[in-house]
Amino acid sequence: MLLVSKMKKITIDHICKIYGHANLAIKVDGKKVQKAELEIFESSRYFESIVKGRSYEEAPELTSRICGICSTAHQMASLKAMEHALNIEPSSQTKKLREVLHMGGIIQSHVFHLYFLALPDYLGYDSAIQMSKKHGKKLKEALLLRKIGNDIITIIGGRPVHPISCRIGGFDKLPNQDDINKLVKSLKEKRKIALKTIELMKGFLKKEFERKTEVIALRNKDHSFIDGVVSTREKEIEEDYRRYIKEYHGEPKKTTTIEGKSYRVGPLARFTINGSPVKKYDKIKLSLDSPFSSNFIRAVEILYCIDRSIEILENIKIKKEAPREKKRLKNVNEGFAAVEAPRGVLFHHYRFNRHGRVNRANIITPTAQNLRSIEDDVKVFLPHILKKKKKDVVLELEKLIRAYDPCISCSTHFLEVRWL
Amino acid sequence: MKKTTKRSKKQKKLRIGNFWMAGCIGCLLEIFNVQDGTLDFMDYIDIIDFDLIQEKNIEGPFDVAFVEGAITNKKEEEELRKIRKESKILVALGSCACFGGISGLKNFVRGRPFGTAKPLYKFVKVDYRLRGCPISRKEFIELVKHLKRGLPYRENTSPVCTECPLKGDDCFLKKGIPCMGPITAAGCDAICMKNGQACEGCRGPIPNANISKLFQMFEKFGMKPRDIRKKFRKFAGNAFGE
Repeated sequence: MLLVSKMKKITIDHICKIYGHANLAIKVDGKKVQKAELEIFESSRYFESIVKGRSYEEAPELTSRICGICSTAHQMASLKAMEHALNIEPSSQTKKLREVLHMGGIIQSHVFHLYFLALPDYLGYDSAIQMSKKHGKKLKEALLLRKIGNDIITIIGGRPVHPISCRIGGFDKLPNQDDINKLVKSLKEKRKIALKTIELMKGFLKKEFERKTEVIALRNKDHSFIDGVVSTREKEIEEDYRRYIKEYHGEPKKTTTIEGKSYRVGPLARFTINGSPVKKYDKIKLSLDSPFSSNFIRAVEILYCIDRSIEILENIKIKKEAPREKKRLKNVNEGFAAVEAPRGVLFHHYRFNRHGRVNRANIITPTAQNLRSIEDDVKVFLPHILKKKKKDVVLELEKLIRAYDPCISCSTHFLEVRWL
Repeated sequence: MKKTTKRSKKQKKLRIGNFWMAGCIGCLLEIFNVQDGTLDFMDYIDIIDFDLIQEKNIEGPFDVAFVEGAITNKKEEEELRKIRKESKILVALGSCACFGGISGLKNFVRGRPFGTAKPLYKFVKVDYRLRGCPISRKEFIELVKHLKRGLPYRENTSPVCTECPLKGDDCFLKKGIPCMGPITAAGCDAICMKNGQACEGCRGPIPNANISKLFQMFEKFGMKPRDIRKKFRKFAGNAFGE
């Protein structure tokens, strides 16, 4: 039993099954949680300083390396930011292919999270490897579903981790039509697995705990992951993000607040702002204030990504076109972009001079934005479960943290930036 | 720690540990991607430590330890030394572990205000390197097969040009576009050139590379020396020379 009247400290050392190394430190006084903090022991990697002084053309390639799991999202965001700065409007073919490429990234990241990081918790296993005896079929299907995400990125982007063929203004190499047709066929086959995943995750929907927060996501009509206006529940904030979102720079993590409070980004936020991406699930009963609902929403998003990719790819005829370019640069070029990465909204913001050298860069990753919310959730959630055995308390807390799918390597990329 | 996997008793498999330091997890994800169909992965190996996907990890001993990422602090250094003690073979995974890579770019910020990121070989003996950002899946499978049979694995020493499909006038260098192909080690199947990009040298230099000649060539293309230096150290730290 953990419940003691005196002050109690709990630490969960080295939380596994998340992308990175982190501890959770909690101080409990009676029934009140005094402190809950995610301690990160990776050093910062300072991507903002790495990009500085280099050519703006190198930024997509470099920032992709912030994270191997959402490398496509980082590339899309920085490509879009650079195009914004240069005032380039990519062709509609480029936009469509990018959208599909980005959704490939979302599929592979979500499937990995649902089946290999989250599912073992729910089924009471230690890892997916041990699940393979009893649930081997499920895992095989999961791998197939994940492969389709990887295939999309490979065919359009060149390789599954850190894609190569994207470029500011277009593509260096366009996929060939045969590959696209094959892809559509196999997407249609894999759709069944996505439906199964939704049913599976539906079973785990329970009303466990709720905490209402502000949310931020891209608002748009067609649920696109790379277009839309950055919005909270009520307001549209877009480029004014620095006025609303306050950044805190601790070593080594960066956190953010809006109006002094923590907020959520990610599947929950997207669902809250845009509704269900698949119409069928619009009326499903689920709590939009509970992080535990995220896993179900992720499953729905996988289905949406597959359907939307089929829709786009079926109607596309690849024509050859060169990337759009701009030869002359202004004295000051500033660009901003936001995309929905698997874990939530991702901001890239750059400024470069007329020689093309980047002199300011700021990147806000989804996990950096979620960190405070995770800590606040733990504070509210812990008193509910304090009566349980210690082992179960730890498991429940880990489940909560994992529901955000935090990516520690993303949250340690930062550098404090002063904009003049 | 007491728990040993049952399968390892039936059949002798490689006991593997996967670790990561300061990196992007991309290389470990590529290992995971191997399951996309090229080899029935679990027949070859037993993963006993991989905290990305499992909770109860066994702390060695390992037949092979794969370590991704560069070393940026004392804690990582200690962990690396511990891994080295526990494992027969230690493999540096990806350019961050081999050269410092993109994580190591903070070493070049003037005054090093952000600390350093050093490659693994500065601290412990590294038996094999899998280079590239990210690693090549093909090379990884090749290495595992060699280790399974107890054979030594040899790194590729020929330049990327030997794998490059762009012949004659299609060559980037002939077009006046800076390409690191001639001095960079092959093994990646020239994947960048196949996708319309010039080589960025992510796999580090071949032995006896004629670096100064390429440097002069880039200068002729109109690049400033400091930009060329930046290009050379993008992925491979100081491996291409200071």
